[in-house]
Order: sequence, then C-alpha cells, then structure tokens
Amino acid sequence: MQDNKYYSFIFMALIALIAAGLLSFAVMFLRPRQDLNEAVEKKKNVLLAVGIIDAKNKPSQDEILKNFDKSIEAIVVNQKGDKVTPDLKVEEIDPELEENKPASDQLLPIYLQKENGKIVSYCLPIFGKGLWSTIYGYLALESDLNTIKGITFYKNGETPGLGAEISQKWFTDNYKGKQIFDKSGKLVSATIIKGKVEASSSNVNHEVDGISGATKTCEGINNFLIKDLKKYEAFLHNK
Amino acid sequence: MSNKKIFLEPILKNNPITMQVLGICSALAVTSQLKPSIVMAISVTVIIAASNMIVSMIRKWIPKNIRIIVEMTVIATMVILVDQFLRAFMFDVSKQLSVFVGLIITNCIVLGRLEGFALHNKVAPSLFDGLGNGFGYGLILVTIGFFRELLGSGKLFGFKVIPEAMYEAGYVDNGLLMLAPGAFFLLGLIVWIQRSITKQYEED
Repeated sequence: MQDNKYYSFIFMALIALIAAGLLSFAVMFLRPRQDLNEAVEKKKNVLLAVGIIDAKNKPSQDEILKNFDKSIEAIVVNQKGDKVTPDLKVEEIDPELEENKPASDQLLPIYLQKENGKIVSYCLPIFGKGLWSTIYGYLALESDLNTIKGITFYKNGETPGLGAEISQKWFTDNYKGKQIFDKSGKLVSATIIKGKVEASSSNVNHEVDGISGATKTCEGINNFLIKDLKKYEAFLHNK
Repeated sequence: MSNKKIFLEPILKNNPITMQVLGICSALAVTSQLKPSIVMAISVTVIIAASNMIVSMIRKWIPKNIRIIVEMTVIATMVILVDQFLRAFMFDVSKQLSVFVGLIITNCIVLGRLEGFALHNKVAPSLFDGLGNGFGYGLILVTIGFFRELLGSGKLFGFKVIPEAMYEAGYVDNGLLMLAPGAFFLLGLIVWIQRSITKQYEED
C-alpha cells in the first residue's frame, strides 16, 4: 500500500497541512511579542543615536521605554518642511513604504530629544541598500541641525566581520562631529572614504574613516544617507 | 541496546561532532560567545529530540519513496517553531544567532538521526537518541564557546572575568579565537583529545 502513488500524495498533503496549521497558530500567538521586541529595538536605537543610553550597559526594556517617553518627542513633517499631523501614530509610519509615495504625500518622522523643554537633538530614520541587504539606522543631529551627534545601524545582512562592522561602535563613532552642510549652506552629507581621513584634507568635516574590505557597503551608506537627508532638506534649512 | 546506552553513547563515544564530524558549520559560526552557544545547543537538542519522536511515531505510515521529504517537513516545522519562539522571548540572542537558527534545517546531525535511527526504532529510544545526540553536539559547542569567549575577549556570559591587573601586567586577549580559524584549532584539539581516549582512529 505504501508504494501506491496516491497514498504518497495524500500522506504528504496531510503532513503539510498539519505543519502549516501548527506554524500558523504559533506565529499568531507569538507575533504580538515579536512586534513589541521590534518596536523596543527601534526606540533603543533612537536613544543610542542621540546618546542617552550606552549599549555597553545593556539597558532593559523598561529602561528603554521609560527613557524614550521621558526625553523623546516624535513629530512628522513633509518634504516642504512643514509639520503635519497624520492619522497614523508616528511609530506606525514605515519610512520604506513612504518612499514609494509621491514626494508631496510622504510622511517623514523626526524624533526630537528635549531637555527642559528645549530641543537638544534631532534624530532621523535612515535606510537603504548596502551590498547584500537593506540597512536600517538612525542619524542624530545636534541642535544646530548640521553637526552629527551620533548614528546607528540596527539591522543589516552585510558580511559578518566586514560590512556588518558598520553597526560596531568604533565605526559609528567616526561620524561624530562631522557636518552635513558645507560652508555655503549646501547639503553635502558626510561621506565614508577609503582609509583614514587626513587631518589636512579640505573636506575633513564631511569625511568619515572607512572600513577596509567593506567598500561596497560603505558606498551604499553614502548613497542612502544623502538620499534620506535630501528628503528632510527643507526642514533642516528652515530651522 | 538499553535507553541509557542509547542516550550516553553519542555524548562521548560516538559524538556527532568529534566522531562523525557533522554540524561543523554551526560549531564554528555561533561559538564566539558562551550564551549563543548554549542557546544554539538547546535549540538543536529540542529539534533533534522532537523530530526523532515525531518521525518515529509515524514511521510505519511513511511511504518509502518520499520519506526524505516527510523528514525535512518535520525538521523545518520544528526549526521555524524554535526560531519564532526565540524571536519572541530571547530577542537579543536570536539577533546574534541570525540565520544560524534557520540553518539548523540543513544540520546533517538532525536528518542523519531521523534516517539512521528514528525510522527503525520505537518512540522512547528515538527520544533518548535525539537527546543524546543533541547533548553530544551541545557539549562540544559549549566547550568551544567557553574557551573562545574566555581567551578571545576575557569575558564569560558578557562579564569580564580576567582581572584588569592581568591586562596591566601585559596580558592581551587572543583575537584569533574570535575568528573562525580559532574555533577550528580548538575543535581540532578536542577531536585529538577525544580520539586518544577512545582509541578510535580513521585509518584502521
């Protein structure tokens, strides 16, 4: 009987059905917790970018949520730089989906870090293609909206040990203090170069030390950083 | 063979990593720290034991010509369950293990036990065989993870264990152990030690 091809077919269909059912149930029950983890991970990286928490101290979920609620306020702007109030919550805005919309409809979230009611830094979501994968992160600017306060890359599928090093502190620290506008006020972003930045370079404020062996990943970051900053250009200029 | 023997044999005498040289990929990839090594060891143990039991339960009805497909379906289901569970309850570790949880599907130890044992044995022995092989795999993983984290970064479970005074006296962490070749050297040493005890060599 077991060599009958109809039997094989029915048996396999049955096994597949049971497996699919089991997995659907598991995912259904676990999804809310996974979504919470993802949300906390994003908030954690906003806090890391603006420098409120340090990854070394391994902050707990509660600490992250408490700090985020205390010091961060999220707003949404459009490409003209005007503040808008969308129907969605700021956390529900997916910057990747927004990019597919026409420029005038795009919702651009910004996270403001406030101290005693004064804005001390601005944090923007950034994302784009590296070599193998889409890289996600946050870029924090000082209150002058020019100097980079910090950057994080929290999700990437780049080569471990080479491209994936972008999420390491030694690399992200290279961005600190760099500027995104040149002297004439033109948006130039900060660019990762090959090797170390020469102190005598005329572009020293806009150049970032690279990672050897990760040229393509770094090129990707350079491309999407300027792409994302351009979307916020009007807002950054008006302030 | 008694259940006890079925359970103990793959842990020491017939260890899947050191004797059969299976599952090397993950033994190198996830062992740079102790915590992911332990989580990986537990995950693989759960998956082998559960898949072994399920396949053993349905072994009399599995059509011979599609048995590998059935086995892979069972393994894949278990792996996805474990992966989803880790993402929900151990998010940090699941990020560290990244693709390697999913890749348990291709871990030869799992399919090897289903083909070699669960298809021809009753449920209870299959469970013990799965647990034994999982522990055997885990033992090597945890040993390698222990030495790599200790000697490679001076930590255990992320806490500094080598005192500052040692570093001031000139001690340096061995960066080689953080890389895959370091894991290979350790694995080679473990295989050497084990085979010189069990006296089982390839060339006789």
